[in-house]
Amino acid sequence: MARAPRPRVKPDACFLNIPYDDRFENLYLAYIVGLTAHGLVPMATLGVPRDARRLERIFNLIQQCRYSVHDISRIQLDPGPPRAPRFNMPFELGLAVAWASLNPQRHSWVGCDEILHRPVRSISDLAGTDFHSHRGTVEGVLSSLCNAFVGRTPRPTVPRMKTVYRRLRRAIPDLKLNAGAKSLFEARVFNDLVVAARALWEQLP
Amino acid sequence: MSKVLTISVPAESASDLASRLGVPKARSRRIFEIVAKASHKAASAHMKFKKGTSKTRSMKAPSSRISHSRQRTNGKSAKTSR
Repeated sequence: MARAPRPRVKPDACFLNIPYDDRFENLYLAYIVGLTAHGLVPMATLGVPRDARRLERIFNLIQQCRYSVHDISRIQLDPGPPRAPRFNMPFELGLAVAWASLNPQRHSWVGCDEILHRPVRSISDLAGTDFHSHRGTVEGVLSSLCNAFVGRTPRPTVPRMKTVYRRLRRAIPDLKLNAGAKSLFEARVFNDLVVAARALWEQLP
Repeated sequence: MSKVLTISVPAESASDLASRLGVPKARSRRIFEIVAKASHKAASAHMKFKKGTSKTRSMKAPSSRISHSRQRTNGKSAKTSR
């Protein structure tokens, strides 16, 4: 049987694996701002349809991305019934780790959590891996991304990224209205936020 | 893994990025308008804050000095306080 062709890697694409909930909104925006400031294009599973081929599509998306960022700070029990832990983020992290270990030239991943050393306790198989701690703050996310992508150019500063973040927050009501969206965790709004963050970055003196 | 990542590529412009993400022209134009408005608002709010701070300083400094001297001299000028 012929093997399926490998998807082409986009050198500036970054798979963003984060929780989609309103309490994470600030950090979600911080990730978008931080990645676009580093010249990267965030990609998320928000646009992937929830059908039988979802997993295949998600894995395909990871394969297309040169980088992936995984935030596993919200893997606690989901409050809705039946109560269950949120395994999507660790699961997608596992896919990326496997893909990167088989293709180290094609993919690199970055792990983030709110609390330092917690990931190594919850996923002890990853012992010896550096996870970045953002302490649940916008500044923490931005500085974690600076550390993770320290070898890349451009090298944006945290204060400049915070300026873009504040301006993006200011633009949210209009962006939501424009998209007819109630939440920021929708595929169209996500794309609009990425474009807006890049445009705001370009406008900085 | 999960360490320092080193490969660099030049960043795409916002309009190129919009077309790459499949954002229609009219919609991206609207996004740029929203962004311009947000930047303008942020800049004017910053200027207002700066103006407000300097005004407060210039208004407050002399009056506080007067009240301070009056307090020390019990309402009289410093020379006649004795």
